[in-house]
Amino acid sequence: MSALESGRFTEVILGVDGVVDAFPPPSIPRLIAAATGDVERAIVPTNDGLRIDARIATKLDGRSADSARAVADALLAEHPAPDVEIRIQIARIR
Amino acid sequence: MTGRSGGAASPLSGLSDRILVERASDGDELAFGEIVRRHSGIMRAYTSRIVGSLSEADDVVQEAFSTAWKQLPTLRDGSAVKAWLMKIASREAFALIRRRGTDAALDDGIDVPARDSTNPEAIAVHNARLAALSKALATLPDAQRTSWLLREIGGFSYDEIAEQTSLPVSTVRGNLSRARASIMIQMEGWR
Amino acid sequence: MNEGHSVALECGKTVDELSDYLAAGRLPYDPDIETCPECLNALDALERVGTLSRSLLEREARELPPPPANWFDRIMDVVRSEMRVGRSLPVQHPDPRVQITITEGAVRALVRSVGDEIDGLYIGRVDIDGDAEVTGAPVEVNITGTIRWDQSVLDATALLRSAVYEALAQHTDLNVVAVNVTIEDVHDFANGEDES
Repeated sequence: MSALESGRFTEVILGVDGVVDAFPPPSIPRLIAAATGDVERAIVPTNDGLRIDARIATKLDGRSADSARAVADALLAEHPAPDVEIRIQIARIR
Repeated sequence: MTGRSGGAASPLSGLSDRILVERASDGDELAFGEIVRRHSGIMRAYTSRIVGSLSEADDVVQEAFSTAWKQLPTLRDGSAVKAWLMKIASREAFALIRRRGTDAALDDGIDVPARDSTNPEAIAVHNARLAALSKALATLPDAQRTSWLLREIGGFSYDEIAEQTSLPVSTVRGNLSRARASIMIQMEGWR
Repeated sequence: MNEGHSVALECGKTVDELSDYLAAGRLPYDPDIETCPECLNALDALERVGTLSRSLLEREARELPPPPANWFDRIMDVVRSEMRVGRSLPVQHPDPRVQITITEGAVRALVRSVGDEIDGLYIGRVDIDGDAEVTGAPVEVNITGTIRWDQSVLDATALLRSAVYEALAQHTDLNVVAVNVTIEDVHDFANGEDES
């Protein structure tokens, strides 16, 4: 994955109303993420297709579940494919 | 504030141990920070007398708090956190002593300056007695002092002391008995 | 009797026995001890030493030089790296390609911050009881707290309950069927007051 794609990924997520932060996903070892210089990147090609992991913080005066759903929709729009897998975790509300 | 870490007192300082433990068990780091501030002093003082130096005690207590954070959800009664922390510190202290390879824990006689007060004479008398106790402790053989600290300060049972020090319970009893007698003689001129 | 040769008084009682007797609060009453002047003297001496030793450690605790500059921060680093994430609670999305969760830790922190907003209330434990990992499963939220002495427990708990219902509806898909609040304690400072 190029830096351009990863930057876009972060941009898409942070562009959703109510999302205030994006973190490294728990499924990717931090070491690898740090080594690739791409801490937010979480787009992993798997045998079945593409899996996207996003871990977000949402704002206290928003609606976190709705924001997370909107993130999923935004990512689906970016990567429309029948075999894509999108996993989002709300890790913090602040 | 000398002897304390982490800066000035926070509003959390007015809360009971119990509620802070509940909060920290759930993951609130600020509540845990207050627990550290509140109890680190006594843990450092106690641990120093077991391992023999303040700087090693600081390492031990730091490690003890890391362990405490991880195990905090297992503590049923938050109001007992001080004793619980002392036990963890004690285990870590003995682990350090075992790693050092010798059972000799030197007490370097930590220098504690007397405080100023509005009642200087009473304070002076009290300080003198504290100094005498400190000195009496320092004159004890290591095994006796350690047993005494674990029992009188740590509140451990004889069995727990035996386990920590790898000694038979009967030896622990003997050490304790002699330690208490020595201290009483030195402090009280008893007998 | 003891390998370690307990020190004994002339009357035969050992220092050990007296120390244990003292630790037990002098109960059950032992007439041999309580009518023996030597024992009584020894008990007094032990008591004075006991008080003094706690005092010694407490004073040292206050007067030790502070630990090294990063000492506290290094503890907090460990704390931060061991975040209590808890279970992953489902958030619904119609598309089967999507899986959304919210961590239990985030939900607890949410309830804590909502509770702390209420004047005079400080939240302790937040438990989400029920099969929260199952979509739509009924859950109960059990909260403990402490309240400032001049606040009404009834009013504060009612406020807290409705605030928690609202916050969980706003941020999660949890099916909250009850919010149970237990006030365990009373404190005497005001939330949000500046450090003295």
